[in-house]
Amino acid sequence: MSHPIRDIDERLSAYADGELSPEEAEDLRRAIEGDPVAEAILRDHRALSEALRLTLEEVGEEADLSGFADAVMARIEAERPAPAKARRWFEWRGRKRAPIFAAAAAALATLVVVAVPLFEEESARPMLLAGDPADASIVSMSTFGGHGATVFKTSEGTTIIYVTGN
Amino acid sequence: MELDDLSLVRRCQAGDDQAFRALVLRYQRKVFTIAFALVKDREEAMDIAQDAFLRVHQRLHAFKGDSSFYTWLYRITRNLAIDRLRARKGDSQELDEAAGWELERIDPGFVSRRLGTNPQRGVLRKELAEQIARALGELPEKHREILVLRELEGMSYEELAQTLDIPKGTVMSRLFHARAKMQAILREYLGNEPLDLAAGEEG
Repeated sequence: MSHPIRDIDERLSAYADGELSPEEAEDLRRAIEGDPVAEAILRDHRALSEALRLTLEEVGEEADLSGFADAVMARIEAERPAPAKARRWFEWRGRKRAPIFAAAAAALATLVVVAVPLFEEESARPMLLAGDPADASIVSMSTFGGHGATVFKTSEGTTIIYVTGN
Repeated sequence: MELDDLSLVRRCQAGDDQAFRALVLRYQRKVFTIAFALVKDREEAMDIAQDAFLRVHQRLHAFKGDSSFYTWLYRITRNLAIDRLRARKGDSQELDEAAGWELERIDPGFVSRRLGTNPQRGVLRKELAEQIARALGELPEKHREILVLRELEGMSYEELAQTLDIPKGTVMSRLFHARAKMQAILREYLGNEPLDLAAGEEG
C-alpha cells in the first residue's frame, strides 16, 4: 500500500536527523503528536539509517586492503620525475650502500686495467690505475637528466667516474 | 602521539613520504567504501581509491587547508568515481531530486517492521544486508552518494552542503527523496514474506 507524500514528510526526515532548529523541532513535535503515520515514518527512518550504516561498514571491513598503502606508495615512486628519482636513488646508495658502491667502482676499475692492455699494441703504456681500487672513496654524486654520476678517487689519486642511466 | 591530518599534510609538503603513507592508512577504508558505494564494483573501487590518493599526492603542494583534508580527498574520490560512471554506457543518470519518483511513499512502518527498529550487527542477516546493498545500488548516483555520506560518514547537513556544493535546502530534499526511493526499492525486494531477523545469524 502506498500513501501520498505530505508536506510534513520532508521535515520529518530532517527532524529525525536532528537538523531542525529547536523552534522548528518543537513545532513539528506538536504537529505530529499522536499521529501514528508520523511515528511509523520516524521508526522507518531510524531502521533504514541503522541498516544502511551497518551494511556500508561491513562493505569497508570486508575489503582486503593489505598492501594497499604499499601499492599507492609504489605508484607515487614510479611517477616521480626522473631526476628526483635518480637523486633519491643516489642518496640511498650514498647512505646505505657506500661499500657496495666502492666495490662496484673497484670492479670497474679492475676491468679497465685488465681490458685496456688487451687492446693496446704496446703493453708498456703507463698504468691507468694507481692505488688500490677497493679503497676508493666517493668524492661526489650528481645527477643530470636521467643519469647519475659518482666520482671515486683511489688512495693514489686516480679518479674513477661511475655513470648510471635509467 | 598521533598527528592530525593537517600536520601530516604539512610534513608531506616538506617531502616526508611516511607522513603521506600515514594518511593513506588512515583513510584507505573510507575512500574504498565511498568509491564502492558509487561504482558498485570492488575492483573498480580499489582502482579509484588508489587513483584518488595518487591525485591527492600530485596536488598536495596546492592544498592550503581551507577545507578539511578528508573533504578534499572525498571530492577527488567522488569525481573519479563519477568519471567512471559516466564512461559506462547507460549509467549516467543526471536527475532532478524527484526524477523517477512518483511522489508516493510505501506503507509507513513497513521498513521498521522488516528491518527491525534497531538492527544490530550480526542480527542484520547477510541476506538482508545484501538486499540493502543491492537496493542502494539501484539508486541514482546523487541519491546513493548523499545517503552514503550521511549514514556512513555521519555528515551534518551543513557538511553535506559544503562537500556536495549544494544549498542546505537541497540537502534536506535530496536526502528525503533518497530515503523514500530506497524504501520503495526495499519494498519490492523484501515483499511481504515474514522475515526472521535472527535466522542465519553467525557467531
